[in-house]
Amino acid sequence: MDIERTMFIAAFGLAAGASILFLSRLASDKRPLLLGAEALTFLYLAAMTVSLAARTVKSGHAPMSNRYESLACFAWSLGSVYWYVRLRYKEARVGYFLMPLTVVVMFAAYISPNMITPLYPALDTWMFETHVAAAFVGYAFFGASFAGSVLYLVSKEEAGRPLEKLIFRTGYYGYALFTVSMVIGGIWAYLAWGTYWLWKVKELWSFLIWIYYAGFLHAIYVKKLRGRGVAWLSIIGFAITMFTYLGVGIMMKSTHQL
Amino acid sequence: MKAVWEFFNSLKLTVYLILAIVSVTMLGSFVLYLNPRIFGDMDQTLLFRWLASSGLDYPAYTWWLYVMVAMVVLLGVNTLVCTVERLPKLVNRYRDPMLNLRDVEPGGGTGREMELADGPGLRLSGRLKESGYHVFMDGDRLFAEKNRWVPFMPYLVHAGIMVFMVAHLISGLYGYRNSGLYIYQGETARSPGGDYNIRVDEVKIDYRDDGSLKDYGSRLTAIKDGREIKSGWVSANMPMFVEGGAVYQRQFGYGFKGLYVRAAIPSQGFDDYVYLPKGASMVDIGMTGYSLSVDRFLSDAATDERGMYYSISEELANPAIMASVYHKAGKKVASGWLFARDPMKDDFRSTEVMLKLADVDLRPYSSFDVNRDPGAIPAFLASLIVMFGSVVTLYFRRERVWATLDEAAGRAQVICTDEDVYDRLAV
Repeated sequence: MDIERTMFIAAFGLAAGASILFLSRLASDKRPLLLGAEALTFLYLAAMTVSLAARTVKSGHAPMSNRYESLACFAWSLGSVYWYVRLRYKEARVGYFLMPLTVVVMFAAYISPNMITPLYPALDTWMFETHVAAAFVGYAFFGASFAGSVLYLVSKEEAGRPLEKLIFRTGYYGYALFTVSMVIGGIWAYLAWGTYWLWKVKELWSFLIWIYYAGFLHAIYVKKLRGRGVAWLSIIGFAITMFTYLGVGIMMKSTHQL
Repeated sequence: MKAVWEFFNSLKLTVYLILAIVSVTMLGSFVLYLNPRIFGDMDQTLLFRWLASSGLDYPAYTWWLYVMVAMVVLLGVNTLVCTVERLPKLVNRYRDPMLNLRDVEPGGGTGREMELADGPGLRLSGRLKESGYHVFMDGDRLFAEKNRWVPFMPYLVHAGIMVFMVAHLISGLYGYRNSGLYIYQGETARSPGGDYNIRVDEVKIDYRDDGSLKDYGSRLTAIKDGREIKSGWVSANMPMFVEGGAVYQRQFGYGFKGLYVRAAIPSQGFDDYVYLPKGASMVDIGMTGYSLSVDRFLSDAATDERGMYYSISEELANPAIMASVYHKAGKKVASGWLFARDPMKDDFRSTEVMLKLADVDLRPYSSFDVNRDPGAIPAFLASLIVMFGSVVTLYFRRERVWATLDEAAGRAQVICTDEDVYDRLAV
């Protein structure tokens, strides 16, 4: 087995282990569980980074050109965003949701064909790579905002507390990165296909994500929606995001699958 | 008029309009997906033209698009009104920072009490300045602000969105899209929508060792009034911009242009190739007085169970022709089948004329889309402004500090917008 596959399977196991420890922590307040979960999450991210780097070297292009690579990149983004939130907001509890989600994404990647596919000429551009990378990290930040929202609703924290700030800030990070993805994608589409907008299902749902989160960012300033309202909006936003990423590609047979 | 203005000057309206757009678009995406027959041609034309033509043919399926466009326009108006209403206030506060002192009431149970020994005003102001704050004082009250320009960023984003909408409207009104311009290598065609011609000088198709497509492109020359005005390569992600429009490579391949038949007429000492262009029914065999007629053409010849010839596919795998040769008097000399790949099957027999199907003329071609989008550049500039405003706000945060100073007691009541600033000030 080559290093890429070995590290992928190791990362899968580490993510599963981290998830079990995070979920066990819900039932028990023991601190070693959290420390163990964090250690495994760190090792997961390291293994996944090596796996993706090895694949990049082997294929000669960024690993984003088929379903396996797309899911693997998204799983990596979830791990990276977990660590960003952990370090920036000192909030480890988002791992309760982000790591089990990572395991689901890793499983989907595991059962997808993982052969290296040659890059179609139109995809051989930095704009494609930037477009996809910004979207994935953006999705992962929306995931962090979702995780913060669930925690907020469960813990019933009052408005203005750190969790509310986390929901808003991670939602904003996701929005800014998704804006980068949309803009670069639009310029690339104009150069490749002669138009920055196509009336296709995936494009419509991408527009939906972008405008929905624009509404989410404005909702924080509407008194009635502050607190629980914003948390619910973030949860719905992540559902829209996941449907756009996985649902549209798998169920609606879009030409823009990933 | 004032009521209308007030209606649009609402953040709540923004949120509800966005939620309405999201709901309609969600519903519309399923209608669009399930009815490719109705929506399939949308990308071949511009939105407003489609809405004014094809869109009106199936109102039961397309109504959501009109509602969506109307709501986006309302959102644009809402954005404009909110910007016009709030931006001057923001500018005033930027010019006169002390206006910010009214925002909070230090001492009302919020913020923190800080011991700053003697001269708390100077001490606090010094620490804030060290941290990059602009400090403003008015008697016993202090206001400090870091990254004062950040509040303008959302307005920059809003401006970008409004410019984008206008640019999209310009594209819809003054642009055009044309697809399916097929040109063979070495040939010239009129550019649809433009008053110039396009000549394909070369078609390049590169494959990798595993047979996958590596690269493709065409070298084009644009010609206007007999003058070459532009020349260059068009390939993936690289259109050629000419006369305010752009030419995009769409498809490519090899097309059947004709056949080469080797003809020998011993009585006249003639032995040469005769070219049969695609679609031609009869051509002369040199100056011999004989003519060659193509009665049937098969691209991939095979025989059925009765021994009759038919074409098994559209591929030019085994081309064959049923040829007849006529003398100038109109007398048929002979006829029979000629095969390019399997000459053993040829059944054209004549003592006067000998024929052999020598080669197939396959010529590379490219197909192009020719579009004009006068709103594209403003739309991209607007998008970059939106992107810039969004990303910059990620890195820079506006931080504010309000304080009421008690010089005599060496204390200050301080309110910070960020929790960690308290730690920085309490040195």
